[in-house]
Amino acid sequence: MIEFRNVSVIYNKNDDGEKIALSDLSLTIEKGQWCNLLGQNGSGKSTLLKLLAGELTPTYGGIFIDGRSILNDSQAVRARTFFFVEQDTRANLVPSMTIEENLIIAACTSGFPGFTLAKRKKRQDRIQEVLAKVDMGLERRIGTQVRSLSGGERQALVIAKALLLAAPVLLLDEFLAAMDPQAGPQLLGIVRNLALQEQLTVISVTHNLEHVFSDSQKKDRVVLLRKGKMHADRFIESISIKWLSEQFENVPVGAWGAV
Amino acid sequence: MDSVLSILFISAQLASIYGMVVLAVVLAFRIANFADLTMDGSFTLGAAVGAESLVRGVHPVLALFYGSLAGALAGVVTALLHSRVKVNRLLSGIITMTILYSVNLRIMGRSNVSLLNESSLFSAFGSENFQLFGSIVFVLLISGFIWFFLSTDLGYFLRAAGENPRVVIRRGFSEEIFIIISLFVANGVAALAGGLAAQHQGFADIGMGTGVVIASLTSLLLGETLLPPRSILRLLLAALAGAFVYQMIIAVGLRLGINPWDMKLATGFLLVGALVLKHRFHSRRSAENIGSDPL
Repeated sequence: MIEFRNVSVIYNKNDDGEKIALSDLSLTIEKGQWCNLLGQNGSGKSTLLKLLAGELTPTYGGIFIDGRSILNDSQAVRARTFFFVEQDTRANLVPSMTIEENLIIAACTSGFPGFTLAKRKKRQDRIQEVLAKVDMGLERRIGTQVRSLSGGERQALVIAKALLLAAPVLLLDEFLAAMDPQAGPQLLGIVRNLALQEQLTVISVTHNLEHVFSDSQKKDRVVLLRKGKMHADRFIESISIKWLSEQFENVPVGAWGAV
Repeated sequence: MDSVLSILFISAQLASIYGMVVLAVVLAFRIANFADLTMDGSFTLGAAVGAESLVRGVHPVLALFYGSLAGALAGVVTALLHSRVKVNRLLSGIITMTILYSVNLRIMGRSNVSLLNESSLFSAFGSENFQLFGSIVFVLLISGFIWFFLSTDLGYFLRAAGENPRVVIRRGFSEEIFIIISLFVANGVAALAGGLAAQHQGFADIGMGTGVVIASLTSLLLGETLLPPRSILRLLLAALAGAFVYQMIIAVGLRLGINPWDMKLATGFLLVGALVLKHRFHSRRSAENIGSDPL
């Protein structure tokens, strides 16, 4: 269970350019839940993910996992809990290394890397297993360099990396936005399946309303943020795509964002 | 025929020593993504420490080790200048290199130390043929060590940290430690080559390291053109092959009557030529080359 308690994030506090990115936000996300975060640019969606990933700290308020504050957790501890998948795969992959080599780095989870040979049978088996789960045919191309993969394949590889690291929470930040209209939904379906199988908690920021509904479960959450504040929080079974798109249409330009 | 053989012979002998600096350049430039100019100084440092040790009666193998360790520490200085003092990478190397000039003079006490009366690894091998054989075995051993090193968990992280630091930072590691380790090993290898060069030529000289980084970089580019590296093993082989080709070009040039004074000029032109060719034909041939390219 991830809990935001009265979290505020203020950039450039006590300064002329003060900007409130999140304002007194409280939100609880259950284990294994798929939570969609929606809102226009500047509404605080990405800020919320960065708080979890440890790239930002809240100005006020606390963040808890199963009642324990995570604010003092080191980056290494955060990395074991949260896996951040953004549109740009460059933060997660090394281009001139092969699929297998990139995954070996993910599979090396026991503290600081040492002098044991990296290619070990057990790891290679595990890598094959994970790639088969991701189901994009990457397991037959493990010697291919990442830089010659398509955008969709790279993102699939990032997901495989997340599975190897076994982080229980996936943070998806518009991770399908750079993919073509066919590959996007396919990978989304794969991630939905994996999330169910592995009981992953997922927080997904998206602009694409169809992605919110495709392959969704009844108890998926839809959280709408507006100017850094909670605007609506519904289960997907209680809303329609029409209602959701109206939430975006019936506001004057700029009203969702904080700027 | 005789002169062809002698060119091949001398090129192989020099490549087996200077090829180690090319391996060091691989570690710094290609693995750590760090254009490290320290090695001009740490090469000489290895020679200076090694020569002084020999003069004081230290065993030649131990003398090499001392020199190598000193060079490795110089690499750490450069890494720290960059990560702690926030000095630009190139400048960090230049600063350490400049400091090492004085350090090397202090160590040797003069600008040149003769080793002709000392026993060296090469005197132990006797004939020139055995010396060549021994040098080749040695450089292959060092290459094997580097290959193993880069095949470990640590080696994979060094590659990742060099090419895309975000990957290791996200895992909660600092980029700094990986740069320190890479430059420690790279400069240790460069200094090892310096110590070996001094034992081979029979003296250590304050100017012997000047331009070795440029020469080694030229060698590496030549090697990468001949053997486009798709794996670490091939990258190391390309480094050694490049060192051999480079030494051959130099040997032929000298045989054709190029004044030795102009050698660095020639090397400079060779490097610029190699860089121009590389950028011109970049997309096709080098698109799948592995490793970073800080140039």
